[in-house]
Amino acid sequence: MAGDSSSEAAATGFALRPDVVATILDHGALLLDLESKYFYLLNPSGWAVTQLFEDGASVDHTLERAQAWGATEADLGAVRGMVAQMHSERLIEPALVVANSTGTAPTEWQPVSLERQAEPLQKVIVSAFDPSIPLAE
Amino acid sequence: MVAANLALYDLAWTHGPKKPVELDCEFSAGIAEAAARGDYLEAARMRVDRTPTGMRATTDHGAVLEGMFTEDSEHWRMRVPDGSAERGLAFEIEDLLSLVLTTGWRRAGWVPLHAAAVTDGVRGILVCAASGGGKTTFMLALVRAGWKALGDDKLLLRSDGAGSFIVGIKHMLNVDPSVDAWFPEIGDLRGLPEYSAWTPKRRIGLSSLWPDSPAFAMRPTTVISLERRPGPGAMSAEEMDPAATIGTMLRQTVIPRDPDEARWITRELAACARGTRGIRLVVGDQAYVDPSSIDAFARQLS
Repeated sequence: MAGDSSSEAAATGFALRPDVVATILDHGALLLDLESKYFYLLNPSGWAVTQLFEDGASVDHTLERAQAWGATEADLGAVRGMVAQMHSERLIEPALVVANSTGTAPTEWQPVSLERQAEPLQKVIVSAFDPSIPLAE
Repeated sequence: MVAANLALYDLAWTHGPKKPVELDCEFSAGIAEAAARGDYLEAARMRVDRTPTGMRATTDHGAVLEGMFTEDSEHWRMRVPDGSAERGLAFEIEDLLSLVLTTGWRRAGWVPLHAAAVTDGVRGILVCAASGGGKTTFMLALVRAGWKALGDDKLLLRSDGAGSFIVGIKHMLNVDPSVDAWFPEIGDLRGLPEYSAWTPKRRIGLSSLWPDSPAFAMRPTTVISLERRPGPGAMSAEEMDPAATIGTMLRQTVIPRDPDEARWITRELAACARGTRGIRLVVGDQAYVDPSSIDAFARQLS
């Protein structure tokens, strides 16, 4: 999971990047990456795991918490996969200090899901009121 | 130019307290300042940075806008290079004004939405599409069917104790004259002046087309993701799940790079999506030929 840079080697876990914004939905949450403009949908279990990264968490800790919330061995593989995806897409970044908080259990554990929307929001927009893609002039 | 642009927002503000916003404008020779980086917002011709006291924006052709904010007011200073008007750069002033307006509304708790809206007094439809995506035409079809319109491209959203609330801020429409093929009652708009070199649309007041059709506020009950599909089809609709609905709404508002603002805006959009029914609507070239098509669609919303 960890890369080969010195900062990653020294990291004890991961934390959500400051410009990744989470919004709670009725069924899970939405993550918006303000840099890439991609947004992601998390199911409730995925959101419960992701919340651990708000104050920083190690991968082992997220697996422990997921197991405590009802994850099976197969589900833990999906948790590892989700964390790897979040790392590769830079939603989380290495952190030197992590809180490893207890977190909040989902109402009912289900295999985690993190779904990236196919099209990002526009990076460059028409104006401060119009988020459309600018037309060629 | 500034006054003419602000005059497009032709509705009196009745939805909450007013606040003072000062804007000093001047033509200036030889503006030689560093361009903004765009770390708050990057638009096609304008970049905006946060500053310790407010904001600073620069445009491609050298105009500069600086804002200083207090808790309940904003003071802006706009400097535009000499000759900008003669060189046809009025659109840059328009861009800077859109920043002045949207900043003021956001700071007052309103989310600017680039969408159309209609209501029948009970139901409220938010019509979402990109620029040129058919928002105005769809809105006109519903108005012809007896609905009332809040506007065709600029709205404000906020939530209160009863749910999400949307208000109109301008009833000046941007209408493509070719819609007279579907709406002969509006007449030929080609005699009106073009307001931009990049669109054939003309500006015309809603009440001059249908005097009884303006509305000012609504509770949204339906969010429509509108897609034009050239071809002989009429209308086809399918339900969207809540995630797709909020995805649709995310594409109708500008989300600055400031995480706190982005968090608040997405929370307001999520609250709106939660309380509404999402519909993906594909309209073909025949969608508005038969007025009963829109009636049939509206009945589905009951």
